[in-house]
Amino acid sequence: MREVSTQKSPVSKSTLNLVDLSQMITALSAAKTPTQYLQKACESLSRVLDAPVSGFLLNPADTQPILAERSLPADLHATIDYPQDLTPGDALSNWIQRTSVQAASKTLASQPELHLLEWQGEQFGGIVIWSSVEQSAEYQANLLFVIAQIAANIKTLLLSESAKTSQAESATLDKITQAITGSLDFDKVSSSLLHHAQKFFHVDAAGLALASPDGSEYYFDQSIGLSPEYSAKIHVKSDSDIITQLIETNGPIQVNTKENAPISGDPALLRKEGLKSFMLTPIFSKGSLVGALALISKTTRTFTPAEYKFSQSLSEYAAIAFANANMHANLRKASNEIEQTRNLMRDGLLVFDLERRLHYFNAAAGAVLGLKSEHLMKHFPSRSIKAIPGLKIDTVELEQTLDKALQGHVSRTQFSVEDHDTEHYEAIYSPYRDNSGELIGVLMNVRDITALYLEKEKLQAIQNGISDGLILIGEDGITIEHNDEWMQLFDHQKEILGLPFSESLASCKNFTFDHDPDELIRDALRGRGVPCYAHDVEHGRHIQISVNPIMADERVTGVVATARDITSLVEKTVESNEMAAKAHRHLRELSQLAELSGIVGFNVSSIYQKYLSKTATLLESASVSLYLYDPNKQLLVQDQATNPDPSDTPTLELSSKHIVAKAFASRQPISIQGENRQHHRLALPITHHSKTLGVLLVSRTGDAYGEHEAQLLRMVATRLAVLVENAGLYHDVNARRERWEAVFRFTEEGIVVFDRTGTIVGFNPACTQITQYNPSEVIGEPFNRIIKTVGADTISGNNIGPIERVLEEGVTIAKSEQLIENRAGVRVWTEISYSPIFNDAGRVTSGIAIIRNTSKDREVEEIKSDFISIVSHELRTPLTAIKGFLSMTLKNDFGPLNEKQFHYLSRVYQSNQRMIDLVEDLMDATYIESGKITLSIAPVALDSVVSNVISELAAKGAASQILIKVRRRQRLPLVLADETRLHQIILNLIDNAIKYSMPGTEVIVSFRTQEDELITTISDSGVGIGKSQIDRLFTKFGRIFNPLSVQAGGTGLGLYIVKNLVESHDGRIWVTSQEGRGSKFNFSLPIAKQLPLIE
Amino acid sequence: MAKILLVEDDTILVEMYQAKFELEGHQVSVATNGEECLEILKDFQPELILLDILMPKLNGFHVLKEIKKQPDLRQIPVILLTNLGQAEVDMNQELAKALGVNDYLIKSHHTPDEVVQKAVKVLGNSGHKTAPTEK
Repeated sequence: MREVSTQKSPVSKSTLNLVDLSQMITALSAAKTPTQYLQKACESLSRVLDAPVSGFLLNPADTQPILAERSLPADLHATIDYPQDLTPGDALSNWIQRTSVQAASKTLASQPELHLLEWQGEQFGGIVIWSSVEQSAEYQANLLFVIAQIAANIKTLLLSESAKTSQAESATLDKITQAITGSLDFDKVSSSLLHHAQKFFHVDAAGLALASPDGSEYYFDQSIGLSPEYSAKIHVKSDSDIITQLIETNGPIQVNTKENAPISGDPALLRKEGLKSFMLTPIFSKGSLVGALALISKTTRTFTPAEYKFSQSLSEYAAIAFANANMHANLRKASNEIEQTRNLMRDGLLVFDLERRLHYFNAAAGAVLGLKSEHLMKHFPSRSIKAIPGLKIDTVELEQTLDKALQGHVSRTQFSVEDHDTEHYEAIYSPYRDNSGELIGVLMNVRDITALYLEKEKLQAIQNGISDGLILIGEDGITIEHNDEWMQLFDHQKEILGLPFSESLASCKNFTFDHDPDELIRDALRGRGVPCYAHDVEHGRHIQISVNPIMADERVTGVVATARDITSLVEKTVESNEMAAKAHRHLRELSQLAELSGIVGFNVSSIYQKYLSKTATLLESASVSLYLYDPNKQLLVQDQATNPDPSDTPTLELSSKHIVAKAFASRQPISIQGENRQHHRLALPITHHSKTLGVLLVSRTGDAYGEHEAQLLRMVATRLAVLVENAGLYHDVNARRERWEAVFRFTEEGIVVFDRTGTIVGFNPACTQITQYNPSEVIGEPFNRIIKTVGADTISGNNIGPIERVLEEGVTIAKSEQLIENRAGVRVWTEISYSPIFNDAGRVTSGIAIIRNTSKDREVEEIKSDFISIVSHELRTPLTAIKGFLSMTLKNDFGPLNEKQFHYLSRVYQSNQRMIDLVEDLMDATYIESGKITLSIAPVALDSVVSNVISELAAKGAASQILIKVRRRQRLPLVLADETRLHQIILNLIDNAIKYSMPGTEVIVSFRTQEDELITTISDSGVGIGKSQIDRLFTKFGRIFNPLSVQAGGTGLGLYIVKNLVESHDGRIWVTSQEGRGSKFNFSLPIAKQLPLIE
Repeated sequence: MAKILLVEDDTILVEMYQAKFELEGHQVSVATNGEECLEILKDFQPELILLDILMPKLNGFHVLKEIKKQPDLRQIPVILLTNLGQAEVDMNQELAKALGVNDYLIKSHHTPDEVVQKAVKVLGNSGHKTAPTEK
């Protein structure tokens, strides 16, 4: 012990020379072990620093640190414990503090200064410098450098130490390694392993336990030193405690049979074998327990940690051997499988393990590469391959390609053999993986590509002349050759040689293909050429690709593909396709419109429904609604709707903001484009003859509605409007028809409708009553056969009948009296009117005959006429008596009368006379009506008749202070008349004029000729006749309603008789009048052409 | 003063015309139907016959035809008196003229006074005319 170390100078003179240090470290290189080195390093440091230095190393195997310095005081050295955990932190700080206190208590003035030995972040030991001197910064820096040097050197030694724990170990391992690398036979390898282990550990027996294939138990695969009986009986369940313990410990465990019987449940067996101590070391492969190495001693023995460690090493070797064996088995299996499938193929097949050792080759491979069995298990490519005559192979490339495959990539290379001809081959390496996906080897496929090669040469020869892209693809879909055009066409930026064709196309992101390129190549490899089209979306190019197989000896050896830019062609095609599509769409729309037009009928609701459904199809709209305007409510009412929007309420105010209301108000189509191609809407007013009937609303997703759709919808709306209108008309017509039918059915007049040919098409019940024919009997029969007129032979004979006139001339024949014969042959008087029925064009399409049964009328007329004449006669006799006696009495034939008697009897006489006149007129009227009147027409001097009448009425006129004048400018022509009746006519008219004239006025009779008529006018300046009265003037009893007529004392029949008389003379009568100014009665009579007869 | 045969079925009218003609100084014989008339005429020669048309048994025209058949009676003037309507009168006018009727009167149109005047007129004319007919 040096005293110096206790005499600490306050400041060190040393500056820790780097040169010294370097020399020191160089000197240390003689040390053989880490401990030795550390010891020497501490000594050197202590010398240089002039301070006690101690060092320690953490031994991973031992719990005790390896100490390296004894320069500390012995008592201190003994008490100091070195840190177990060198990770910088609290524990380490605490250790320094504790050690300082210990040092102080041992009268050491210095403080421990701990320098950790580190290598790449791993602390494996430390150097403690017990210094009491403050050191300079340079010293500190140099010291750190030195310690780092020391640490690095110690680490190197530690590594070499652990690499070869002992000579024996390394010798053993060398042998085992040799065994493993030398053979793939697991039995051989494991036997060697057990043999060496037994020798190394000096154990009585050793065994290798392996898991059963299903992993449920472990058994001895091999053993030495054990009876076969025993080893065969050892089966340990995989769920047993010992297996669990092995897995958990992840290292060797020791089991003594005294303590328990873990290996076998049969202690008797153990005793018989005399086995005492076991060391079991687990063998793991890919993280799972595949077996255990068992070292067994027949004496009770404790295995040391070093033994543990070596045993573990052995188990690792065992694991490798196991994996190798497994791999080899798999490779064998693989090559067998491949062999089976490829046995008959010309392709060569070789199998390599991960160490590039050749495990297998088939005959073809052997032939091509000249391999023999001696090449098996040799590294490849070997020199021997090069020796094959004519083989041109780049072994470096071959090796590199194999390397690529070993890294998990498919790789390929080509080579050729020059024999008589040059044969070309391609070698393809594929990584081979076991079931779990782990790479266990490489398959090499050697293919004859001579045909392909020739093809390639040919193509190369011609490709200069073409602008098409060309590519040559191998049997496996890999690109072998291509031209620049191909690269340009597909915009390839990177070389695609050696890449699968489909992959190279997949990189063409701009392109879309109408065929899956993969499929394309597959098809071509099956011998089927397929055209394909690619579209360059970015540049708008279209490329036609033609893929064709290359055949050699009826076998596909590759594929050649050509590509051509057909953009301009496609554009034209597309253009014409678009036009065709447009036309097609047009056609579809037209056909749908036609279908719309085909919707007819009068059930409005069902028509609307059909219409809307068609509209939905036509406009590809999911939602269609029909709103109709209700003029009463002034609302738009939803009549029909398919999938309406919630906002499409059943009714809409006209002022609403709803699209339908807007379209209705504006009378214009309104379209709304929805967002995100959703909910587009189009509303279109339905108009007819400038009347807006309602609105059609459609809505859809996808494309928005355009002008075209609006037009389509307008067409729909127009048709719909017509339909709405037609439906209205139909209901109108129907109502009319019903009314007409009621008339037809219930009228008392017979109605016959006949068609253009005169065939009966309608026959009402009244007709049946008249004719006794039922409608069913007459429909389809000629009119003239059913309505048989009697005595009309002249008409149907020489002249055309009424039916023919109606149908051919289109004339109406009103009320002609006809006697017809009914079905029973009974004659019936009828009055028949015929009328044509015209179509819109004004053509006669049919006709109608109205038949009235007048038999009863005639009967009634006759009865009436008889009645009146009898009654009149019987009335007249007493009236005559009254008149006669009264006239005699008033003439005092029976004595004088006093004044009152005369007056009142005169009144009776007048009244009686009125009665006589009335009866007279009634009789006259009756006679005229019944046509019984007979006229004796002869030329008559009208003026003389007038004179007679005037002289007759002069007295009456004078009594009313009315002057009757005749104005005659020339000699009047004779007229054709019945003189008596003419007298009656004039008398009536002048008498009337006197009656309605004011006193002091004149009644003037004047004449004028007009053509072949003589017109006589009787004018008065009387009260005149109101317009409303004029029409009624000449009707029967027409004047009865005239208050003046009562006052004037007429019967009311006078003018009626006069009119009838004038007309029966073929004359006319009319009146012009001004109320308050007077009236002019005119009548005309035909002028007699013949000269008057001279009497 | 003349002898007149009045043929009339209505007794009141008979009474009326008889009264008037007698008042005017004429002698009136009466027959109330056609048969009776012809019976009377067998032994009675009137100067004028006033003949009604519508009568029971034998009407005025039948009687007239019978009278005109008998040469001793045919020159006796006849005035037809009727209450038929004007139209019927018109229809019969021709027939009446053909049968040599002197006048055809509608009774209700004329007062007895007027009928007497017509009769006197006919009587006056017949005085002249009877002579030539007898030629």
